[in-house]
Amino acid sequence: MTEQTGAIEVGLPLERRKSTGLWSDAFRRLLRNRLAIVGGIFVIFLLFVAVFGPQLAPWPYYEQHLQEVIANGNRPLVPMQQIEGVDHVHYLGTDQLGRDLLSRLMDGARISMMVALVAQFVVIVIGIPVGAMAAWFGGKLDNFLMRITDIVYAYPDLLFIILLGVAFRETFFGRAMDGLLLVFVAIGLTSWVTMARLVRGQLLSLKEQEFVEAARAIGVSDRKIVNKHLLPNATGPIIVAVTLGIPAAILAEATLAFIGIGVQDPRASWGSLVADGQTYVRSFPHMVLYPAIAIAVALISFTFLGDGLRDALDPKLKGKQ
Amino acid sequence: MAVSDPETPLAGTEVSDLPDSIEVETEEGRRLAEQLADRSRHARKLLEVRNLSTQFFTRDGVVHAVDEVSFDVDYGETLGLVGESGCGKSVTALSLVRLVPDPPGQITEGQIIFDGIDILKLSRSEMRRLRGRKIGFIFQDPMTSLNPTLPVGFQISESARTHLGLSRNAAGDRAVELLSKVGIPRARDRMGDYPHQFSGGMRQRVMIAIALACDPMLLLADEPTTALDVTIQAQILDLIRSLSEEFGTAVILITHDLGIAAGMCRRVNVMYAGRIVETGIVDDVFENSRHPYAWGLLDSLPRITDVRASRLRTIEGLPPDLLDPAVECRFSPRCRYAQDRCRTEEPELTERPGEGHQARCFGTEPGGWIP
Amino acid sequence: MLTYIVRRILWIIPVLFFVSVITFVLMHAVPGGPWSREKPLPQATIDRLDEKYGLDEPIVVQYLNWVGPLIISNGEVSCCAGLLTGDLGPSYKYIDRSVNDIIADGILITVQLGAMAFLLSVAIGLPLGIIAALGHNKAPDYSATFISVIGISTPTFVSSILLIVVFGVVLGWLPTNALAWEEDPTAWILPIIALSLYPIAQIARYTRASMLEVTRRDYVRTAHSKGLGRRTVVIVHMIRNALIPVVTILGPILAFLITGSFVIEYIFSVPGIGRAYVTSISYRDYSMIMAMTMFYAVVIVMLNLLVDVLYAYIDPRIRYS
Repeated sequence: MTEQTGAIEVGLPLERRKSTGLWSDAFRRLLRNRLAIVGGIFVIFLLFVAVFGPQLAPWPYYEQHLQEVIANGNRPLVPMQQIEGVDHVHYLGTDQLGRDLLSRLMDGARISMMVALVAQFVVIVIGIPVGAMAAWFGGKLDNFLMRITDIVYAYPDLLFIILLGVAFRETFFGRAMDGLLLVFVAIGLTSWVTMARLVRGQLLSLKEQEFVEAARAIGVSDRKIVNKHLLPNATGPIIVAVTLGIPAAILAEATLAFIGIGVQDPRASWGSLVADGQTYVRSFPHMVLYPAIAIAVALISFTFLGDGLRDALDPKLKGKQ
Repeated sequence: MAVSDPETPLAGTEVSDLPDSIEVETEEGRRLAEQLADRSRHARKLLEVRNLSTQFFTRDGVVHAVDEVSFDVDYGETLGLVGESGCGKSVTALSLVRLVPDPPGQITEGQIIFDGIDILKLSRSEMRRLRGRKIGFIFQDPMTSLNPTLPVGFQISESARTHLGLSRNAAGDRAVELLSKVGIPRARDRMGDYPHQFSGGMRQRVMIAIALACDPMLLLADEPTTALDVTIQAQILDLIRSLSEEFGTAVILITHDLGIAAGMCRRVNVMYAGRIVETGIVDDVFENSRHPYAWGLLDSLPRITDVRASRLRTIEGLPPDLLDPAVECRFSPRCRYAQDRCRTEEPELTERPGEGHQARCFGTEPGGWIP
Repeated sequence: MLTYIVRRILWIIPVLFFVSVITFVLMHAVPGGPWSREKPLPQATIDRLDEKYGLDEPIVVQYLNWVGPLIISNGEVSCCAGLLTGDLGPSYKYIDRSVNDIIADGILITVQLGAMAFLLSVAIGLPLGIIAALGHNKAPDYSATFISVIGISTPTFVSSILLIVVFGVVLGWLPTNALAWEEDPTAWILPIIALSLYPIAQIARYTRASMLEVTRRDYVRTAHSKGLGRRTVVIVHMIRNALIPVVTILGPILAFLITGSFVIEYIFSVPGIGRAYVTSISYRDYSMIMAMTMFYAVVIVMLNLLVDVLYAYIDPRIRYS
């Protein structure tokens, strides 16, 4: 229970503590959270690799170095293994077809970041308007939209994505972007419900506040009120939800890739790399280990960052220590 | 009601031993008269607070929430602690029972003597034995202060079982007694009900029952009616008053509402920015106040004689930031009578006309510039 | 509370209806039909198969036949078969076995696996979360949080593989697959642990968050003001309030145990229905895919209902309203 006030009044001597807005307050709090900083750094690193991967990777992800594998006795190369007569080294080794693991990992980073973006894009594009409309118009529309979300929510996510994957696997849609588009959209379609519910909840409580009544009385249009007054106030929880939804999306894509849905050969996501490396796990664990580490690092980073954002933006902590 | 404190003059003397009249002309008579006067002054108080300071150590600095506060409470007396939000009155009450959240808060100096016991020197388990048993607490919001997942009867009998060692049945009977005493009809039937099944006023009655469960000597009531309807407020205050009279419980009533303080208390402390700025008997403080802040408070009360549609009178400005307060009268930025001295020196509590009447203001001191 | 339960139960009907429609539509969107192979079958064979399985009827009729209980065949109506009678239909792959047979074979194993993983998750997750919250910002909190973040960030398939490698291959303590589960009960250990890692982490996280929330509540302060000991305050007042919100994640946890069983049974070769489901996906056994998807959906919907009822029961605010 602190007894702080921070306002500045005209005509009174300035307060010794400077007044801060919500965002700078939250940002400072975030910066104090060491785990969130670490997570944030890795996230930025992953984004960097995702964007500049093709330029930075030593080889294209599909390029096979079969001669080296054969020279190795038909076995994948281990990290840093030097083959006679060859002038380069594969930092993380290769798979059984001689494809450089590091390059494939970097491509996998690309895929994971794309999953994150596309899936969350779908979530935002569907979830926010649905939630906002339900909250704003209330009544029958609210009821109707909530019933729809109930149904979508009841359908087990993984089953839906699997079915979608199986159904469209052979179609054009299923083959677009090496099978990835299908998975991305499917993941987004199953996750928008929580965002809709979140937005609806936020807007409902904001709607009751007086400034909304005031805006209406002046004659501001409904759409403007929602877009300019209500939604910006809900931005905090939305950002947190998007950030925390990313690990789930990456995990879903990895699991699906593992059981064979989504990404198609020769493209590889981290999940399919693990699946490929399974059979060699005893003798060549690097094929499973590095993709596994990559997945874990990505998930942990986004989770720490999301947790940090949530703590930083928690309205209950606003103004408090 | 002085207790047999061996240092009290005439200790051990019964009233019946004293003569019917005293001849003050004689030496003996004069000495006896002095001793009697001394005795009433030395009689121990239920609660003596000396220079209590509680601070909150935050990332932005140290907040001096309670700054060298001193006051007494007599056995059976009702004392008011009045002030606006943020003045430190709630933190004072929490400090008395050492419930200030730590971190970030801490009692940094002072002495609290309760019934002769030095509270700040007690161990944690000794302190726990005092809480609930000797000191009861009523919190402001009965909806959040009651555990929503436990029946009301259980919550009342908890302290009786813990402190008085009563069996489950005996404690249950006592809880029923208390429930009906605080005015809940059909008490026995409602023992198993949950807080959400009661109305706001009834929940506060339950809180009162909990606070009084072990017949404490002191009741700390932190804004007990602020969260309630006006019509219910009077009932709850009456209840507190009648129960405290019946059991001889002293009460510290914390409120921002002067009307409530006037109706319930014999003496009142006005707090501002962590300090007591005026103290005295309720009549003196209300009718003959000697502090500009108190004037502002009294003035801001709407009166029935006010012209309709006139603006409410307010005190200009806001309370100060309690981070590292400057050396000055804390009210001076908002005081229309402030002079240079007020901004460079902080006044002490000094005497004013009236029993125990003190105020913290240079201007209203005898010889000061405020008439 | 009774009205709440009744309403929830009635709501299942439209939900399951939509689930069945979506599943049916998705499966029939697959191009090429259920009989397409690399080497195409002769048309006559396809026609015969279509007729045998009622695939020559109009689509709406096919749907109605699937659901039952009335069967329309060549204009004739008969009774009784279909989902509503509990008949899940044939398997297109295993010609003389119905889906019911296949489920009957493996369901006990899958249920045992899930139940034991559930018990383990609760038994470890709850105390972990409570201890973390009580030791907030100190050693217990950091270690428990660290463990749970690792737990949610490691995909089940990754931890399964790692467990197999460490305990099965390197240390050789435990069997790496569950085929011999009848003779060797230790074959259960790794699958159960692998399945419960994620739930343990999630339960711990939610319990910790809930306990921290409760610590800030006013009634905890009231409990202290009554002079109750710390242990009493924690056990009597805090835990029971903290556990109520945790119940809400039991639904998703149970759903996870079900979908997680696919991966676990696949990797550990556990002869349960999860493995059968995954196999049916790779073998394109559309009838079985549809039927098992419906089966899982029904189970998950029922479990969610159970969790909702449980929640209504243990929260006195809902129970006595």
